Amino acid sequence: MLAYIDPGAGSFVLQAIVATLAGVALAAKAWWKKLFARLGLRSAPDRDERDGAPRGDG
Amino acid sequence: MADGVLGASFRDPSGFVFSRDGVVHRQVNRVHAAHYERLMGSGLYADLVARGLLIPHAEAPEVAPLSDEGWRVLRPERVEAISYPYEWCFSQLRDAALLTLELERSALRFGMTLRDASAFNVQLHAGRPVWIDTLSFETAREGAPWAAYRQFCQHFLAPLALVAHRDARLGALSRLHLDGVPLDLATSLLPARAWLDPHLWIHLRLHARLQRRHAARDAAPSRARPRGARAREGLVAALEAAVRRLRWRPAPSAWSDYYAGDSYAPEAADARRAQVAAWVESLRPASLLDLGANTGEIGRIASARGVRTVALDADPACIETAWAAVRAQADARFLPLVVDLANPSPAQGFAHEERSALAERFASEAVMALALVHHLALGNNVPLPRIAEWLARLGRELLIEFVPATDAKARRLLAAREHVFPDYTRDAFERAFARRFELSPAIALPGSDRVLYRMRRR
Repeated sequence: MLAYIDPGAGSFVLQAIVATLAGVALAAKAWWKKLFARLGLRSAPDRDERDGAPRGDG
Repeated sequence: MADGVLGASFRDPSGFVFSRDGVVHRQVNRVHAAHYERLMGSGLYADLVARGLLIPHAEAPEVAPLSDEGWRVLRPERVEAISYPYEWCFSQLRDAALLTLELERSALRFGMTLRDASAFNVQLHAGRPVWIDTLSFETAREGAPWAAYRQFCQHFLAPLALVAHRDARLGALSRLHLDGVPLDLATSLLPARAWLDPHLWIHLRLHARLQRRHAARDAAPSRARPRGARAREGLVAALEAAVRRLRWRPAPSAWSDYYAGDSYAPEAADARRAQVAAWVESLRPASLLDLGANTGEIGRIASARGVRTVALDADPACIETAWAAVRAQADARFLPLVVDLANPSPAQGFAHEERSALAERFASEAVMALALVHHLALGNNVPLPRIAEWLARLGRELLIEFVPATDAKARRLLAAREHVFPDYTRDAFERAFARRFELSPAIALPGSDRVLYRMRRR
């Protein structure tokens, strides 16, 4: 892995752990949503706060 | 702007920014050609530009590359006022952080990634943050970590956490640390309650500790990789959660309720607004610099009339309010920034050329200095002729308010000091400014001792 900025060795180690766990969390969240949808329960709307920050919505 | 490669543009081997005939161009080097083709061909560029997240550009085949490794030349849309992260209030930096994460999330969907996450790649353009470095996008490699993770934490997460949990004045740390606030420094400055937020504990404190542990080793840890198809997306989501939890609610400052408080009798405030409107309408300047802008209430009189306005104030709470108004009203012509006019942003970085001085970036056709002179003269001991000289450098047309020493706000500045300014009088003010400007007769504000002058540089 080569980058033109210094990505930092410690940063890589931490990221490997955090990203892996966060990826699992995302997948689990998607799985639950699907399960709820299949059981005919409406999934709760996303908790995203739409507080005017750019989210690519305009 | 002098022709040639711009002073800040030398780190990235993928290309650089240069100026030709006063127009900014970006050279793409051969080494980056495949990444650029993917950005344009995959639909990512069109998607980002349509959503206003990335600066649009045109290819400029008629302009020859500046150097041998050059492959193509781009002409990006012009950003009129270049500002730096250390001039942004909390919400401006937070908006820029969220933009950066949204770009990374979008890039991943198109098989690309951000190679860097520098806050200097964001500009506040037409009332919102936009990414200006077209060459930041590269093809993502399967299973590779995000090279810009550390930079994101230093440029965004650390300063945001410091302002939210410690003190708004720490926003200025970014002025000292151009590659972002070192994580060990942020960790030592943050109060214990910040660590109740597990996101900050992980991305700042644990991050700093791991940096220290691995700093002594020679080789990068080659096996440290995020595992799983959604790991990279998960990292973006985790960082976004960290940023979104951070809030800063400024305590009301002495100046943020300036106009709501007792400074002005209502008729004086109305007269002042009317004078500003009349002055702007008679001049119709292309650009206006509003010094000591407070919450921008007066400056927006100009932006509402189509004048591109940069508004500076030293109080982050005021700029926070001003930026909220810009976002709420989608005011594309008003840019409020945190700047202490007694110590404005200098030229700095390598060879003093990476970040330019305030006067170089914001000199405007017209300058407005309302309720400012007493701060500089009485609050900072700057002699009136020096103030006149500096304002003359910033613009040709000037609308300025003189606040006599008897004014309530001026008295507050002098409350505990001997009056070392026997020359702070209306006469002395007129004499000092007459050396640099032609003065209109003084315009009285009913119900107030303050007076306005329209001035034009000699």
